[in-house]
Amino acid sequence: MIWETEGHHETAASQTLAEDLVAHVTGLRRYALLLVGNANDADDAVQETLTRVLARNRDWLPIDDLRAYLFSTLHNVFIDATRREKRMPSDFLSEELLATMISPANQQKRLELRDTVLALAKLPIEQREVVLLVGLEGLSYLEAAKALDIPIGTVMSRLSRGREALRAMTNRDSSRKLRVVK
Amino acid sequence: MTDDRFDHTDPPRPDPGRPDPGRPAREPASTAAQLPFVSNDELLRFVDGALDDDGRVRVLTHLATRPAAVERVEAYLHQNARLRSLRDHLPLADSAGFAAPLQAAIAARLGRQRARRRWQRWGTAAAVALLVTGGALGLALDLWHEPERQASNAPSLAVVPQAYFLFDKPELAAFYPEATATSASVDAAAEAAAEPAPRQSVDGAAFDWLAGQVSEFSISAPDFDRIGLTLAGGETLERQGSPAIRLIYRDQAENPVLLHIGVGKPDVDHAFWLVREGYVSLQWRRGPMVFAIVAPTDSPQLSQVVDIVGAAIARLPAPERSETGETTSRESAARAIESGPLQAIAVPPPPAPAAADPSEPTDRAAAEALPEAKDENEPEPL
Repeated sequence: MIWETEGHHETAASQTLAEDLVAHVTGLRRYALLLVGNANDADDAVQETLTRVLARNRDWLPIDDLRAYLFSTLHNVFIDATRREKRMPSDFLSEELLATMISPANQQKRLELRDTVLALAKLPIEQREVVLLVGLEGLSYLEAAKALDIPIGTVMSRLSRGREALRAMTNRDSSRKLRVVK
Repeated sequence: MTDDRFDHTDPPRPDPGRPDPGRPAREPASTAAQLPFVSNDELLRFVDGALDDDGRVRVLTHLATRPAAVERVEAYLHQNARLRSLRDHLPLADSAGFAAPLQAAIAARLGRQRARRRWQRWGTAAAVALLVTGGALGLALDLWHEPERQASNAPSLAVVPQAYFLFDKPELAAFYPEATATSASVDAAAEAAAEPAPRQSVDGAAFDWLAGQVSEFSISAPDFDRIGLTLAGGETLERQGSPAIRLIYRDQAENPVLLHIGVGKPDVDHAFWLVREGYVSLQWRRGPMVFAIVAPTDSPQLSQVVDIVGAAIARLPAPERSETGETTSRESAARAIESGPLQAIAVPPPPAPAAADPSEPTDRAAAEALPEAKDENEPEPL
């Protein structure tokens, strides 16, 4: 039984792991929300992610590269959900998400925010994942590669394509808006 | 990664034979020859702050003579800034709901010594109480377990972990009290178990009953046989409109593994981790459902149970409506069983998608199923 053998160091390690997990919860929720566009589904996925992580680490030992491990588990949860429910996370409910977002006071910021969310929604899921992991969550390329279980070269390639696609979409939207103003 | 020469003057996807009006004139050959070697990857690393000092200098030198590349890099930097600004505008105000159970788990762990002393002090009294409660539960479960297991495997105090009775989480405790096990559901389950072959398995009937209570999800009986768990007994529970099932399995070492699935309330807290006296309890939510597993701390099946249960539950598509506005038979069936669990067991299995096999390697296989960009490993010039 775990409680018979644990010592002070073990307790400290448990506390560290739990604190580290808590520190990553918001990032996981943020990423999940922008990936699936629906707060309920996103939180369910994060909940299942934490459950899986704890189920596999019942001794509460420190996990190397915890952030990549958590995002990797979340990625697997999405894949499993996709297989189970026969739908892609790309059923991105951008309008629903926009309606629930905290709107900036500044009009230009509001438009930028809207453009960004709508452009993200149009990205293929594999590009959106990489763009969000690196651009939103600040994962290194190596961490992103681990999280998505793909080679680092694929991360770079998807990132390049995703960024270029976003750039094209936001440029197009900007020029359209300019024409309207004129 | 390929460190091919970065040439920003080429568009990303040139259309052969079609001039790009926005394309800047190519640099003179003599200038290009003097430029530092900058790859596509290096520019991305520059944007993400992943270059060392030498790399940054090299890229900046390159950019100094490449206005088109500067424009592109600025756009990418601006994208990152926009993405990070999203953080302040996402509706994530209640993250504390996730942190609380983790912190509670820490508190539980740190308070272990105190709890153990309390247990030693109250050991005798608790043993008596558990004996009485366990006996009562064993009697109730005896009505429902598989007939062929009746003689040898009837649940008893010895196979019901103490942890089962010791949860202090009210949302889970709500599923436990002996009074909540309706006699109708126990009778129905016993009736179902006594049907002549081919009959549905006991846990299958319970899962079907629960599936009838949840219109958003399909639920099929998880296949625990393949991980060496065999059913010892179970029951359906219903209290204040919150249906649940409670099933007890045995692992190969004859240790009990308990599984609870109930329909929770939206305000139920996201508790998922409690530890008591050699047993772990995992609790988690999915949609309207609350799950809990209680197993020995050293149980190798714990994570497998999580995966198998997850695979057995799938969100149903939105209800289809006929031209006359009538709901589908599935929705009608779900509505028809609202009056009680007896009818629920008779509901035909939902036309759910086949459950995924969690034993398969999920990541790569599924990732391969996702649409891939063509020539993905081939870096593309910006």
